[in-house]
Amino acid sequence: MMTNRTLLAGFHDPDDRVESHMIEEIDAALGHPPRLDLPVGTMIFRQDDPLDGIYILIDGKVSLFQLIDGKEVIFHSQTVGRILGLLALTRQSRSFFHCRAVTPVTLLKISFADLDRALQQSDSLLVSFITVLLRSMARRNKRLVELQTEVLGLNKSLASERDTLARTLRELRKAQALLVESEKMATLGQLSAGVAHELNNPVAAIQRAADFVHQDLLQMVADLPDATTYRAMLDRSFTQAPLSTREQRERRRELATELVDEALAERLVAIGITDAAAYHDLVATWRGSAGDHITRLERMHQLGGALRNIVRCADRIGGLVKSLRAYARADHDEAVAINLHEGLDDTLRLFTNRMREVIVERDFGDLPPVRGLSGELNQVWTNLIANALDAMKNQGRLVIATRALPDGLVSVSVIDDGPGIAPENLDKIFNLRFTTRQGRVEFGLGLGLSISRNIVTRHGGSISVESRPGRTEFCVKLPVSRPDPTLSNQQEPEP
Amino acid sequence: MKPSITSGLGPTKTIGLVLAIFAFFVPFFITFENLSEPGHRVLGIFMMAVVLWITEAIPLHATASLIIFLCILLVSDKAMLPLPEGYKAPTYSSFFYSLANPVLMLFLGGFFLADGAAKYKLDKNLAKTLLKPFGQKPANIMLGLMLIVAVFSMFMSNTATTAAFMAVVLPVIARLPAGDRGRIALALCIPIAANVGGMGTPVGTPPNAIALGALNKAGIQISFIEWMVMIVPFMLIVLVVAWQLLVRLLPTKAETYTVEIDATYDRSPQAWIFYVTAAVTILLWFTEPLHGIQSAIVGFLPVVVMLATKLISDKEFHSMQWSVLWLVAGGIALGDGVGKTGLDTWMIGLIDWQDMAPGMIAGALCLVALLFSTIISNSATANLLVPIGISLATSPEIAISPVASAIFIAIGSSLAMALPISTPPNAIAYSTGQVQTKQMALVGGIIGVVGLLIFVFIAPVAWNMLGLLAD
Amino acid sequence: MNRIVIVCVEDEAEVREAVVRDLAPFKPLFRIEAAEDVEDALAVLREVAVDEEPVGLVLCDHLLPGKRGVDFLIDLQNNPAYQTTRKVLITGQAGLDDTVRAVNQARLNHYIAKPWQPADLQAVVRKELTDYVLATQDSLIPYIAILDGPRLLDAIAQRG
Repeated sequence: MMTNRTLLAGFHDPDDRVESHMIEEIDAALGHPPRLDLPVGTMIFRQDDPLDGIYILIDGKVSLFQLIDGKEVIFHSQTVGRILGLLALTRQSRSFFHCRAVTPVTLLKISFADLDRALQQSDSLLVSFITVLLRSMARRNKRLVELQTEVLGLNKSLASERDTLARTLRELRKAQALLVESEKMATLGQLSAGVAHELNNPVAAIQRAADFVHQDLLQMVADLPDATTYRAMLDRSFTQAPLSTREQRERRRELATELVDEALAERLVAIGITDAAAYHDLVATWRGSAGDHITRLERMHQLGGALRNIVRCADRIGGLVKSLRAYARADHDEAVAINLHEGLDDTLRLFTNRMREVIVERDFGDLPPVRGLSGELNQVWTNLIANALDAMKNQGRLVIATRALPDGLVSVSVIDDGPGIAPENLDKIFNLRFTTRQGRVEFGLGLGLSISRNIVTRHGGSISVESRPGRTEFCVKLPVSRPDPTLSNQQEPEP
Repeated sequence: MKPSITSGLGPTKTIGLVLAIFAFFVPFFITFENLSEPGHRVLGIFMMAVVLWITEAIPLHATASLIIFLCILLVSDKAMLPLPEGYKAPTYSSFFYSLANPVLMLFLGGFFLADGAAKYKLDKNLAKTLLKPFGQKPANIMLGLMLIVAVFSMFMSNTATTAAFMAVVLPVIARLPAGDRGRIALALCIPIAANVGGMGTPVGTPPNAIALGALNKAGIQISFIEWMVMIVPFMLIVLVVAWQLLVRLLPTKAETYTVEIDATYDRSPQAWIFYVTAAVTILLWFTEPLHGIQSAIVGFLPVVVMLATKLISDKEFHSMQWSVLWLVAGGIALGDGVGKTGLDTWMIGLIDWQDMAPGMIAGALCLVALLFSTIISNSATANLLVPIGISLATSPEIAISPVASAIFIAIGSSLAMALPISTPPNAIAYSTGQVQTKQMALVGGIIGVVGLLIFVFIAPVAWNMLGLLAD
Repeated sequence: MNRIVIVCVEDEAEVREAVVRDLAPFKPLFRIEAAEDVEDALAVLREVAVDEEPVGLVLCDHLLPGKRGVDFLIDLQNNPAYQTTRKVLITGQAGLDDTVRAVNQARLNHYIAKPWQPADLQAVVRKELTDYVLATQDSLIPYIAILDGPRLLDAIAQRG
């Protein structure tokens, strides 16, 4: 027997030998105390139960757990060891864990008093007991370190999961914003196409009616005495733009000095008679009072001018309607060969009211038709021009330049003379930026450009920007023909 | 366009100014026989005044102030140029006194009454009440309107009366179809009545005051009521003639006229103070022979009462037509100068009057006044003609009363209503766009001539019979 | 004959012609000058000043090339020579801010929205010119037929 073994010598023995040795020693010392056989699930002791001894686990498995927020948190199952109530033993107090049998178990219960007696009787027991004790402790400690590492690992994966989630959310929001915007554009497009269509008939009617009135008027004038003079007046006021107000005043001054009659000069210049000789020639052909003739000429002039204004304004409305329809053409259809210049001109026309103080230079090169979706490309032009006008504060010089490039590409540049984009922002402007303020989503420069880049990319092209103070150029390059026109309209919801 | 002139005057005005300066200096270089040295100087002032009042190169009242100033500088006892021996120079203060002539005070009283009447809408309220008996027949309504306008114009300025009543008839005109000649008649009846009514009292129109002022200077006193007794009956005749003329020449096709005057009597204490003051003033004017208080003194009553009780605010006080008083004062000063320097007798001596019948002379005075004031201001006409007329009457060889002479000139200038520019009331009627010059010339011309005949040939007979012209 | 001047500033020829024609009832008494932008309007004002004719009314479009209509009216208001000039903005496009600015700083007298009805435009012009004439003219009589007659007659009666 190993009665005289030193403490450290015992450490080299394998666990089961030390453990079985310890049990033998206990049995010897305490006269083979009775074994307890317990079924699965039996609570052997509970947390905070006062323990008056330890349990030696002879067979089976238990788990040590605590209740945290009402949930069982298992601390040890593999690492329990042979001695239960370890911590209570060291502290001589209440149990630290709940202990439950997870398999049928066989236990040996030893009171602290018996343990004390047994340990005093046998040095060999003492050695094996302490060895078992220490090994249990070591195992549990090791488990603790493992747990810690596990927690760290978990935290890490949690954080990355959270980042992924946030990224997904951002993507979702971006997608939503794009969807909202393109839905808005689509609705607007349908609406303007509808309005444009409705305007077509009245505009056509006005244009025709003006034409009829003009013809009838010419017929009526032909029946008047002095028909040629009146006819000439009607024609002139119908076909020629009136003099600028500045020029009118100048002519009036000159004529007034020639005729020495301010009021007459004013009337004559108003009807486009600006030199005294022409007036005297007219007077020579008149019978009756010159005043009456001038009054009649004034009527002719007013009629011609009014007709001219009707025709011009109707044409303007007609042009606008046409642009609006072309611009808003609902294109869910296939990519077709399109003339980029038409789209650019339509877009420019729709910006007329913002460009009163803008000098627009259309530097259009000779472009082949480009395969694409005109509605979408128009949206790109709109965004680029709108951005340029914003930057220029609606005044200055705007250049729209188009070029055919050698390698089957065309380029469209929108160049403004605004203050430019700060270099540190230059690479960010295509990113989607938006802020939520007071619950409203507000879009900055980013959305339009982001949409534009999407569209250009889908057309197989690229968009770039160069900027310095006084010159900012956005350049869109598009391939003339793209073999595979998968210009799917994922962004465009069905109406 | 027209060349810029740094002085800011139009060509007429520039020419007027140059001509006036020229006219002023002519008598300094040309000596006229039988005209005293001071007479020459006043002749210069007189001719300058004629040019300035015709061309209106400077405002009428500015000319008046210039006359007073030049008279003081040239012919008063404080003259800057030496005066001949034996010339009895009038004091410089006598020229200044023309600005406080009792006639001006009388006129001032008229201003206050007129302002109060306009302020408390007494004119329109009374018109509303007085118009009722005239029914709705166009001719009757027009007679009623003309009588009422004439009565108001006797106390208020012709212009203010015309403006107030033109506003009343414009809606009536607007309801008549375009081309109905009744429109013209209505637009014309108001200024005609106002012009004619102005003759009725000394405060009716400035020429009356100028005539009275000149008579006062000549030592002839005419009371308010005496003036009315002499003028009003004939004024009414002229008014009725005018009415008939309008009704016949410019008949309307309308069956009725409805005049709506939007006014209710103001019953505030201030209004009552004014009503009582106006009533007392007019009553005292009418009853001068009974109490002997001169009309000028009575005329000061509304001035004092209305200022003391603040019926007339400071602002209203400042915006009164003070220029009219200055114009009248200038006329009185000019008459004074003309009389004191013997210029009048010299001028009269230029014409051989003895061959002319008194009626002819009176008719000529009245006609000249009428023609003059058809073109230039009535007041300016009276200012220029009254001094000559009175001295003509006081010269022994001419058998015409100074009173009649002064009145003829005053009446003559009031009868001038043939052109839009003749009087402000005509200008108002013309500028409503309802009346054309030729229609105004026809009606106004006939009334002028008929009025002249009535006053020159019929009135003096009646006045003589009543002993009104007794010196 | 110093006529009161109406200046009409509008850049679109068709609209300008229409405004000027709608102002025809005022032509017998007023000098109507058209200008196509603010610079042109300033040239008109200089010419008018040389002729010593007073500017009674400025009708101004807001959206003009170059300087805005409101800014032009504000400049006018700050110029002592045009304090009494009546100022009217005609536009379809001025925002509320611009209008408020015009009212406060340019003493804008009226605001006409495009498209306008001739009768409305004439009523506004008649009222503004009547105000102008009442404030500045000694002789009101010539204006009775063309401007607000009853108001002018009232004023004449008051002035005596």
